[in-house]
Amino acid sequence: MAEGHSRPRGWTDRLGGVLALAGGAVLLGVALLTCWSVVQRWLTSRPVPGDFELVSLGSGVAVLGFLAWGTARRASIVVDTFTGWLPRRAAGALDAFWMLVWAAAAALLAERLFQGARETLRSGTTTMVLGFPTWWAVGFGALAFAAVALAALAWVPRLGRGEG
Amino acid sequence: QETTLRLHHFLPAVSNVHRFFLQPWAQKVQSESGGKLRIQIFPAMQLGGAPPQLFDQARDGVADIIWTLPGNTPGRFPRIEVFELPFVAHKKAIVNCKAVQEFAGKHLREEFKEVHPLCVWAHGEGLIHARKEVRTMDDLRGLKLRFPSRLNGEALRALGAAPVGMPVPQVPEAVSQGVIDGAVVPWEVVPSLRLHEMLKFHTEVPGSPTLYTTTFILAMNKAKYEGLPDDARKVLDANSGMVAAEMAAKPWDEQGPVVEQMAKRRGNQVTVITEEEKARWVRATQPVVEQWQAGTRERGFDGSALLAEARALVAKHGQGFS
Amino acid sequence: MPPEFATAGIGFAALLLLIALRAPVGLAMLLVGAGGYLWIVDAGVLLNYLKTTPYHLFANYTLSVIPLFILMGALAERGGLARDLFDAANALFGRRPGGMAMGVIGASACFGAVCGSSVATTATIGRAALPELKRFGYDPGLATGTVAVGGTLGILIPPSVILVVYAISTEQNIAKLFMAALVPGLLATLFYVLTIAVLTRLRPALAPPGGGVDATERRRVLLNVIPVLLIAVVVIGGIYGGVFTPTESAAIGCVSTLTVGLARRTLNGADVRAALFATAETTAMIFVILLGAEVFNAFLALSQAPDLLALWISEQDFPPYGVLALLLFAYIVLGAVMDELAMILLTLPVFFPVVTALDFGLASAEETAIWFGVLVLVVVGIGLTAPPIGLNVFVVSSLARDVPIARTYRGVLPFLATDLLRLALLVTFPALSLWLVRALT
Ligand code: NA
Ligand code: NA
Repeated sequence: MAEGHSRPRGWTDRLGGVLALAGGAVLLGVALLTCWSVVQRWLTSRPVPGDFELVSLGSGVAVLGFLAWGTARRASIVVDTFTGWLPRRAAGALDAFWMLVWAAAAALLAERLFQGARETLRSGTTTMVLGFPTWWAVGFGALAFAAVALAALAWVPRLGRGEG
Repeated sequence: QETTLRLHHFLPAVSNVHRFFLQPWAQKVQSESGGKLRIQIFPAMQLGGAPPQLFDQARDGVADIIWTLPGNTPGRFPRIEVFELPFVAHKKAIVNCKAVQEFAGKHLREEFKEVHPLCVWAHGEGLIHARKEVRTMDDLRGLKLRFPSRLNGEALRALGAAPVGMPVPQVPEAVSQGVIDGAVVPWEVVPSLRLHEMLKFHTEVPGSPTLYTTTFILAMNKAKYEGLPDDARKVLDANSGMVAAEMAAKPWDEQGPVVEQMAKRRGNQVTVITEEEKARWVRATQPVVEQWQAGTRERGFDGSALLAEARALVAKHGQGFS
Repeated sequence: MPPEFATAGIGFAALLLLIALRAPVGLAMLLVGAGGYLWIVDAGVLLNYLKTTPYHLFANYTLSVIPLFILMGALAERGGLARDLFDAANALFGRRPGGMAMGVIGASACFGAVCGSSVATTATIGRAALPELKRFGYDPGLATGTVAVGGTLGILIPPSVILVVYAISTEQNIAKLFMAALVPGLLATLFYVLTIAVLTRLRPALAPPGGGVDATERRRVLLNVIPVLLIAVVVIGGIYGGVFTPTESAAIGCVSTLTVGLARRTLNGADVRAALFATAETTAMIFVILLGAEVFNAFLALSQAPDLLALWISEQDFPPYGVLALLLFAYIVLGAVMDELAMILLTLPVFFPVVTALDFGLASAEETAIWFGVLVLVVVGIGLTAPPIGLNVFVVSSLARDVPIARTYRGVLPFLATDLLRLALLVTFPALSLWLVRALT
């Protein structure tokens, strides 16, 4: 987990920031909707229809939105116990390598989710109560992982130079 | 040579369907194939993914065989929904299993063309399990009930209840915390959700057709099926369709009464609504049926004909069952 | 050795190697899981499996409590609520030897009563407490170690994300599990406080006196803590009183924390924005691990090694307590090197049927299941701070960048010793976990 790094710079980091704020707004919306549903359940004995599926969908979209920001901030668990003796440049090279691998993995996941979104659209799958189509949420996942890949790529040269 | 098939499903290994249908079925296939087919069962989504993905896992070969609910992906399998309409299904699982299986052979090939369906079936009667006694529609008013499928939810709404959609694992907690007043499930599921411990009242509808059912499919990856050696495929074929449907009925028809006795021994009350009341319920839920029929025309098929056929099949296989 | 064990063993070895080579934990699990998947099945199947899996994994109602609890923690931190808790605990205990560290444990326990995640508790309390502990000259090892073990109270004291996951995987009642975990959670709090008392008695230099406040200041900070205590009462009272579910309590916690912060003007737009960014960062970290664990666990299930292990154990005809000891030992070893959520998701399908089939002299299989759930929770808590991969320790060291991670691990060690003692007590006396459940149901 890395916090307190330098301010985001570059458009990939800003993209991550925009997605994270959007995800955060959705998560706040999920919290408010849940509260509203609880209150309405008390008062009228009828919760907001489909509250459970809206919470699932909303928190899923929120988490996907958070991913690129996490990468832009290098929020990941790294064990440096065994490589502490390495010179800074060597450790930086290792970090750059893994960031490149993460970029590749995220790009692959983006492509996969894009296919998944197309299939979900084709099969006409919807949510249980409200009948919302879900393909766009899977598609948002593709966008989110593409943004992760870009944010990771932006880190590779910086880490290679021993920054961060 | 030996072929290993991976069977993937969403319930834990202690569940009735796992113990009383999937395991015996897999063992039967294995022994009849003389060791040519080996079926490894992976319960509780062990191979990864979420229940709504199971069908695609069979289509894509992520698992060789899957058990799932078509209702897990609402909107995707519109024809089989006909059995989930209110007051279509029979009280007995064996009747529904045979009816759905026969229906599937005629009308669901298009819907399930991406996989090789081994068996398509539905459970027996589902009951209303609630905190308070339900004798009439007025008792249902405002009652927060967890519903099992989209159409059953609409039926409950039509009856005046407040249907709540939530994932099955949430149900025990939601009941114990008063978030919902009960749930609508068959007896067979009651012990694993501990509903009989938390809810004292169980309401059933007299006779058939009953309030609702939920449909299931056991499906196999197409390429895997077609790639099997002839003799192995014959064994699978011999254990598909009606043969499998009859086996599939067991967990509900055999475990259901056991659970009912268990609930009664705890002092729980099982209420059967009157025939007049049932007639009221049928009338009240009629708009749900009509709306579904209207919806099918938009999707390009004739729901009314399917409904008539489903009812006829339930009647045909229901002869001799009360 | 059966080939299944070799496959799984190579997988675990590769995972550790990648992690030792600085691969992020979630990425390492993803890579090894995918590699194992390729080895057992093939590339086409793996690619198909990945098509919608990340979406369905993240859009899961049960997991939605995680970002919500994290958001609540971030809002509490930005709104100064965690700091209020720490200040109040400090006003009560600060002057005694080691009192500020005891205050950290007390504040963590209170925060644990509104928060279900240990990472969120560690991060929230750590941000408020670490600068203070440093200012008063506390030994860095003791300071960071205390925050790390205090953070485990986030799951040891209900509500608890880990218990929710246990309840779902084993079809047990969440409310009963929460009740069962309450006394053991308070016991953990007591043990941590006693550990600090003993440590600082033995080596007073670890914790210089100070941190106490005068009477006026004490009244002010105790009044200040009322809102957060009210939120705790609403959230916990709501769960036990049958008003809402854990996800609902997390949502209500978020909204009430936000409301209190806005009303007291300790939160403004910029703070909320910062809290959302902090939530994004922590949530992304956890869910990348969940994604890695999903793929790694699919590989392990495919290898069949867990099933064969369960079969082997059941065939050995060991005495029940022998099997239990073996399983708990396996958990402690796994917990040292694995992510805890992944660990229980992976092992429960194997271990749970083994345990519930044994006779421990309890009234029912349900009691055995609840008791085992509490024991699993305790070993998960141990795993969160045990080297080399202790999630809480990582969180603390990201907050205290000037303290080497090895120092924090050394600070954790005395607490780990008492953890084992507490585990032994809970194994010997199942009634410690079960009496509240028996009394209330
Ligand atoms: Na907690
Ligand atoms: Na650990």
